[in-house]
Amino acid sequence: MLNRTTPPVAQPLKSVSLPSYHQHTLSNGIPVYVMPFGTLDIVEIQAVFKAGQAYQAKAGLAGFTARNMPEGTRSYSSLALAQTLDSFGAWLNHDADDECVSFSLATLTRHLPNTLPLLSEVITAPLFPESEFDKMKERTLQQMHVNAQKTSFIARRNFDELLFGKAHPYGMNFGEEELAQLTLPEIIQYHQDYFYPGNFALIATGRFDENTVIAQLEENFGKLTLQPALSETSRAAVPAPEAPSGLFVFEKKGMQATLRLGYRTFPFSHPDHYPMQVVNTILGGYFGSRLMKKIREEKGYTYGIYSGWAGNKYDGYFVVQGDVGKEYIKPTIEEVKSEMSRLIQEGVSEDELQLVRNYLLGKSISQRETPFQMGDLVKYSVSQGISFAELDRRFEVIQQITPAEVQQLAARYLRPDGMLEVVAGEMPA
Amino acid sequence: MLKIQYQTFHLDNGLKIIIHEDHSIPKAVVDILYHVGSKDEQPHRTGFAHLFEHLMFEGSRHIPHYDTPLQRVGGENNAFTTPDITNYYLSLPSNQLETAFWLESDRMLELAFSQEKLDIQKSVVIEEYKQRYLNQPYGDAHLKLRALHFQTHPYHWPTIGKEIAHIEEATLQEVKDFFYGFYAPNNATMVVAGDVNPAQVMELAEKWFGNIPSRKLNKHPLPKEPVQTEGRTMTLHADVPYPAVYKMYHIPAYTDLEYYVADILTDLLSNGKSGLLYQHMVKEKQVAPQVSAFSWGLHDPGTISVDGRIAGGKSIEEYESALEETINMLQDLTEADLERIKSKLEASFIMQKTTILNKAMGLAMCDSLGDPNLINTTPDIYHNISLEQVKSAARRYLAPDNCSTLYYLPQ
Repeated sequence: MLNRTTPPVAQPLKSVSLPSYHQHTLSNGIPVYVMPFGTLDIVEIQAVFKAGQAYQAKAGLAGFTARNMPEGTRSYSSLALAQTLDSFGAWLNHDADDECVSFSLATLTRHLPNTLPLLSEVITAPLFPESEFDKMKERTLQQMHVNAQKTSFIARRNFDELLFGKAHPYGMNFGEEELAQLTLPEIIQYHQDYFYPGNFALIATGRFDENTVIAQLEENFGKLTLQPALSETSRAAVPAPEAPSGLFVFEKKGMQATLRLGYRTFPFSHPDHYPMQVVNTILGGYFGSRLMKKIREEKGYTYGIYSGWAGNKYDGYFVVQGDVGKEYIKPTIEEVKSEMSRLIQEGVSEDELQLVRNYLLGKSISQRETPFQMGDLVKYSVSQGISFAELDRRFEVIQQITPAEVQQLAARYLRPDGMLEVVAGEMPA
Repeated sequence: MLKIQYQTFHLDNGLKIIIHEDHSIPKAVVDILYHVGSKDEQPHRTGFAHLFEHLMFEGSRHIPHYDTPLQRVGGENNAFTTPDITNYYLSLPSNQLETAFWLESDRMLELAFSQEKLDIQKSVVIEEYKQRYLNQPYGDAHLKLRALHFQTHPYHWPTIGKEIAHIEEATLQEVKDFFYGFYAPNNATMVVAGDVNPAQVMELAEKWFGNIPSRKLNKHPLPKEPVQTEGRTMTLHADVPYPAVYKMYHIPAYTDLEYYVADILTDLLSNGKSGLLYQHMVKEKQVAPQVSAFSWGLHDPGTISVDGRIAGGKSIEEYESALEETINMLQDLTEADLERIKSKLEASFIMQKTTILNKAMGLAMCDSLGDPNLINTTPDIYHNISLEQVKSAARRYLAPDNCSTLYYLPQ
């Protein structure tokens, strides 16, 4: 008779180290990081500029400049560029985070000789046509106006601004007001100041012959004349003002409210950043977390509630966020605080901790499956200056963490009292 | 062209098993698709298939919690419900494969039914309903439009449920009946993919699923949606900043080759910056900051939706005439236009196969359409579509008589 009550014997889990990437330098000095990876003949090429939000004087400059770059270049109109990418089955995307603006080209390896010049064109020869800028601005304003009705948007915006202050890059939001004030000359200036050869690195991940790809990158980017790097430092290095605590309600009629509770912490370079990922996962970082068990699975107050322990380069924050029925706002805040206190006072059993370590390990395997995921990891490593060996080492550290250490970390860093509590929605009296 | 290799087996109780090997990383995926969706619900108890999906995580006959033992061995899971099917998928380190069989077989055998669990999940689903549909600007537009568009077929109601009351009123007896009527080895397909050994998979399948009895299914024939002969409209007022226009057009079922022609139409209309809608309505006429088209391939005849918000200062009439012009522009398409879309589709079929989970889910979904090998033949189906077929489909499907329109206006 089959025993269905006892689980099959669990096999020991082994962590898998990251595959390595290689550094090359083009003849003009542009650094190239290459990782052959995967079984399909596809490749991602990223151009990563040190031009992220931490460098902008006004909200939106980094992202909106990047968005305008493919809207007309020396040789291609916006439409011609899109159609040429289509004809080779390729995608060109951009992304702006705190530190970097990156352009990524995803293409079949056999089409790389045809598509790489398009990436080069967008980053070296954008023309910023006025009519494209004006139309995009108008469209985006209307989309932002719709977004501004959402409680999730209202909560995020106000939480960031209260936490870091509107003047700090980490507290700066890009909404209707900010976009209305953005002008084309400012965009063009930002491009001149930050998007120049000498301020970007190239990353190639996928299945290809390494020498061939290096030669193709050399052909497209190796002849550019490098400019000396700006000495300007990140605006995020300036400490943000102290964050307020207590309840802030932003009224918006509706059935649900979005909650964001949290406080400032420390940058990702802090030695406890990675160990705190374990503490956070236990509390609210995965589907089986304590917050989900209590507030969704036991109380039914929400469809989902999560916490995050986020590290930026110069600062960091802790946040709990979720959408809850308006009648559940106060009980949810109480439950969040009580779960934080419980972790501080009672700690975690070896059993629950083992589960979380394994969960994180399984997730790490899943996050290292595609050339695009690998491209993200290489970008993180290169832009933040953390080697893969160091990432592997930090991962080992969290695999060794003990229940006593978890409780000590919780006691040191979880602060259920004195959090900033942002509610966007209809707060019952 | 990249070919996905797989093997197919059946257990005596009717469970279909598809195995795909990919040993590139030490990970395995188990995807179980039950052939039941919201179309199988009763009109007075809509949203049930999806509510039931939630209950499938609330413990089974011998296992009090589904998620915990899976997470303990480094696994992750989720599920989704469509009008046609309910799909459960998990991934885990490949050396823990047996845990997946233990968990999935127990909840196919029998759920641990309780009033308390039902009540909590009703509450969670009601919050989901609000979060996704009711508490978002324009969030309920498709819910309303479907009811106008499908008048007879059960696609009339959305998967989340026609109204919250239907979810509130669900009883424990109905939960039990639903389980025994639809959750059965003879109503499911299991795909096991990744770093797995087929002989071991079959041994585990026989061990854990072999003694689950076949069940008498509660499938009933579905009413056919009559052919629409004239356009329908409805108007709704809500707290939104701009007027918006939502349109649905009837198209053939996914199992009909004509579906793929209709689908390529939506790519031509709505492929980002090179799509005709963006080119004509957003950039040229500036009647909408945002307009998109997508095809909804369903087991019975589905729809193409065209959704747009009207730009400040522009009228509904200006929007609709620009849309009509765009649809007419489909008749001027060239071979080169069609070739570009086909190149993009060909590349996307390859990119989609970078993860084991996508391949497993693709095999399961193709099987539910009648043939897992569709995962390999679909690129050819698109490749062989002619320009004349596309133009003819545009004339027939994107016609005013075949269309239902929702005007979603500010108060």
